[in-house]
Amino acid sequence: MSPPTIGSPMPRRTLAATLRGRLFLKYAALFVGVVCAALVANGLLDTWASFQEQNALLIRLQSEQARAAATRISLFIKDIERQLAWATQLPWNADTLDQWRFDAVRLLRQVPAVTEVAQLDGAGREQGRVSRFVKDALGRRTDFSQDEFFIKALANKVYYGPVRFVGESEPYMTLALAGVRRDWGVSVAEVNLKYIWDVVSQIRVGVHGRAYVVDPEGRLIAHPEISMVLRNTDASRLRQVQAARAEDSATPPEQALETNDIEGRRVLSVHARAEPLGWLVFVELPVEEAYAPLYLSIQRSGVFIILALVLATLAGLFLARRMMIPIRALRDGAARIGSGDFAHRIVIRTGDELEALGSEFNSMATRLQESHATLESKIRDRTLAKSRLLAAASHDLRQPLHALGLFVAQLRTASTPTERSPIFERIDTAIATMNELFNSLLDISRLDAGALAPNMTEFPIGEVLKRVHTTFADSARAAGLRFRIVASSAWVRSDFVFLEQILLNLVSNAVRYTANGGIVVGCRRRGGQLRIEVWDTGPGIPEDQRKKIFGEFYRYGNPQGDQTVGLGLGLAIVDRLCGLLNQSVELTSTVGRGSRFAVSAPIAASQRRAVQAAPAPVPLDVVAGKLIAVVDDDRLALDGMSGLLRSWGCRIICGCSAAEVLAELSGSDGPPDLIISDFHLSEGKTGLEAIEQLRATIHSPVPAFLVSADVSPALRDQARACGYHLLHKPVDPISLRAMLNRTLRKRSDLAARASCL
Amino acid sequence: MSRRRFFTVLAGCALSWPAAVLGQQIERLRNVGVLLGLAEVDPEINRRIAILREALRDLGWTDGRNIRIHYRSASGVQRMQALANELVALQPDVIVAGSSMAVSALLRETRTIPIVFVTASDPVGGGFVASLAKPNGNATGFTGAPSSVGAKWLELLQEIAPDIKHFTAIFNPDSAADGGGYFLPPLQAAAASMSIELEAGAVHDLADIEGVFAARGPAGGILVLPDQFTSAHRDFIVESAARHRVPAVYPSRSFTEAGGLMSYGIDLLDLYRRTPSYVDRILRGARSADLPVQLPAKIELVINLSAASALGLTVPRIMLVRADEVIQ
Repeated sequence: MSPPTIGSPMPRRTLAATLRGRLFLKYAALFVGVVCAALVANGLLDTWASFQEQNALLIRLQSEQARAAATRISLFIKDIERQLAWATQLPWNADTLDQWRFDAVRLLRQVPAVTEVAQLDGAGREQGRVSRFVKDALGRRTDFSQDEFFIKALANKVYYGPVRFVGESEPYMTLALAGVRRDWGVSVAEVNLKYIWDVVSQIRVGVHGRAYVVDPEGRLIAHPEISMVLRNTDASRLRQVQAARAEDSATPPEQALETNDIEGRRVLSVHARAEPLGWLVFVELPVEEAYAPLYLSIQRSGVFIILALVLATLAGLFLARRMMIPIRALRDGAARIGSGDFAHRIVIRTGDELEALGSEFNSMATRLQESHATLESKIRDRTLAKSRLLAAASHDLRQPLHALGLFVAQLRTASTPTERSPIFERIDTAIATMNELFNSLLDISRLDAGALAPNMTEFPIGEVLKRVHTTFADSARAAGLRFRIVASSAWVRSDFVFLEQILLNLVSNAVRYTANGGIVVGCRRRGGQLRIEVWDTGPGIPEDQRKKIFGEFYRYGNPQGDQTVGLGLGLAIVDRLCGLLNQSVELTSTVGRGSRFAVSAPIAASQRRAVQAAPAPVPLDVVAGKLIAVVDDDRLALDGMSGLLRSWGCRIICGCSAAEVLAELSGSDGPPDLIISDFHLSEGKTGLEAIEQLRATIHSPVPAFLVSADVSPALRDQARACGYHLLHKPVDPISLRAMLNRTLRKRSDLAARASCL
Repeated sequence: MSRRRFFTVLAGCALSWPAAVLGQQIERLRNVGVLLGLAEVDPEINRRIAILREALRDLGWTDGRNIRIHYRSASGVQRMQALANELVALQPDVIVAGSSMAVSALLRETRTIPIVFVTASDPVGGGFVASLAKPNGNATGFTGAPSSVGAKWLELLQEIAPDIKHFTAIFNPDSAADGGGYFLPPLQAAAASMSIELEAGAVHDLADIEGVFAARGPAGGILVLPDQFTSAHRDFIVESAARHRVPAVYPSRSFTEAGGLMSYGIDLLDLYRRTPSYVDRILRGARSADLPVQLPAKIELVINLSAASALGLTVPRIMLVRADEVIQ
């Protein structure tokens, strides 16, 4: 396949090849895309929702654990407090020592976490001490009045000492409780915090989660890794510890922080506060563990999406293929029909719009088939008609030609003018007949070729009627017929020339076929139309002939082909002209009485009184004495033209080409007044070129017109484009003269205007 | 073609799952050694082993499934050393030691296998650990009662028998903590402050024990120091005390249960319940050097009323209140 040239449309085959398969891919891709988008969106939403739920659940769980642990710690301490308080209810005096010892021992018995209980009196002196590990002491009276625990206990009613390590590895806390009244003194208990450790280390946070306790200063006081506690780890740097210390104790929040724990792992941290100590219990779960189910779910979704993608792709391919079958059938079918196989029918049975489309294609193919057949038959008919026309024309032409030959032969033998003149007359008649035939033929062929287009203008119908009258007045009188035109002031909107031709033909027929009587031409207004009627008192036309008379070469009542009654083309011309004007010819006739032909034209909306749209006013004869240059490569035509023009009093310079004319021109006196040129000259030159050459050489814009045997509309357009009139050969003398006058007149007008300046 | 490949991949995934699951189940069987200081025929052995086993199971270690417990027990020093050697030869993942003597014997055999002692009176003094907070060695565990408890013993005896002023502390220098040096000095100081006389009674065999009891008589009191030797011979000691009508205070409840007057000391069985927590930590990868030595959380007073009445003593009410358990 050769590459397409720039600017030309892509050959049909490569276009189809490029586009092949795209619809299939589109469908498949669309299907897969939609399914995947839906799945992915669903998966994402799901994941996001799960994440939120999971998070919330975890946080709630952890918060619960933290709160539970904090509560247990609080209860533990509060219990000790309560027990301690109960043991020191009474004001202190020396008698109560034994009672106190009893109560203290019982306290030790009941609260395993307390390893030592001491009682200070209101002045801060130790009155009694009972211990598990060391010897009891009674009445020692050691002065603790300056000690922090004593002072603070008296001030705040209760004192919670800092966590300290006894023997390096045992956590202890001092708890001091003041009596209701100052003189009741202060009770002090040493609390072994291992019991709290147990609470904390028993908290199960997932698999790798941790719970630990931090004191208000941020020191680690309980942790599953005891060694971390014993190392006196400072946890105050941790973000979660700082955040917990920063907030106020009133509102326990249920938020989680994603942060690092003491060992540096990324965890989800929740805390709770253990009152009244102010210790913070942290419950932390590593993020991987926290989100493990989520990751699992994402993986699951991922696998599922991949599975679904595969399935969707397969399904998409399958479905798209199925959808493509009828479309392909349509495409192939259309291609076949388009390439000429009108008998092909597309078969689609999908039971939907595609099937309807297929049947539409089929009916289109059927119509194409029919119109193709119709066209072909019309062409056949037209060609047949043309050949018939040609045959008839050549037949009819032979007659006058034959006569012409005979007359010329006679002319050779005739020696006197009296013998010659009738022969000249007969020769003229024969030529006239041939001219008439040619004109009619030209008109028909021009009409058939669509070479004529109506030029709609508004003009008074009176002008047309006047010319018709002028043309036929003599011949009617000669035939002994009355010929009357009823004047009309109406203006119509139509083509002047066409309407004139129509009426000329109709009246011509009337004159020809009416033996005696008269012809009347009149106008009648009918609605918005003006009906122009031609009445005659001829033989009339029977019903069955009315259609036929509009046919070519049909002469009613003249089956022998008598020349004197015309060629039978007039009505055919009328018919075509009417067709071009979008009007119809009406025929009313009574056999033996006469006929009436009528043609209508729309009445002009406005009447312009000033300018007449009719072309070509009656020219003054200005041809005599003019110098005319004639260019024609056909010698015969050239001689004929020259002879005619000379007979009209013109001076002629002629030649087969512009060069010849120029050569002759040098010998003459002055430039020519007019140039007439044939269009198709020898050596490929055109008349336009010849005229231009002549004008250039003469250095003056001599008026010119063209003649040609070529009737194609292209030629006429070309001539018009260059500003020249064109006369078709054979040129009838009247038209020739008219053209001469018109062209020369322009020149003289211009000259007159120039001389006026 | 793509279809076939896809199914192969799916099948591969499906097949690999059981393998992964199986892989999880087949674990290494860990070995746990136990060395106790009781006489080989002592029924207490089974009790203690049972407690260990149960506590371990609660922590997820089942004997026979993911651990195997190998236990030995001996009361004599040489025998104990031989057994220690045996246990170490098994290359267990961790060894539980029931007494200070067991720890010493094991430490002579290995410095790498983690040892968890159920009770040791003076781990620092005995050289088992560098410090209570940071053992820094392969041994860690739980201590017994602190040395200050000696004063409490004197206190208790004084309370129950206020007239007695002469006391003897019985121990076996070979097996007691620091050869007795852990408890004796604080005891003597306490005795001095209480204006009572205290003698150190080193014993090496039953005859010595008998001798001490006989010497003391009802006019004196006996303190039995925590010692593998005395624990092993508790029945004899108790019986001897009863025969000679000597009030005595013992370091653990097993004495009181055997008929002794009273005991003030750690709950050994509770320690046997707590030891597995360290075993669990070590089996899960903790280093014994990082696990601190834990002090006892609980010291219990157990009084045998029938023994008291046999000795003609009345137990003061405050002592009854103080007592964690009273045996009839």
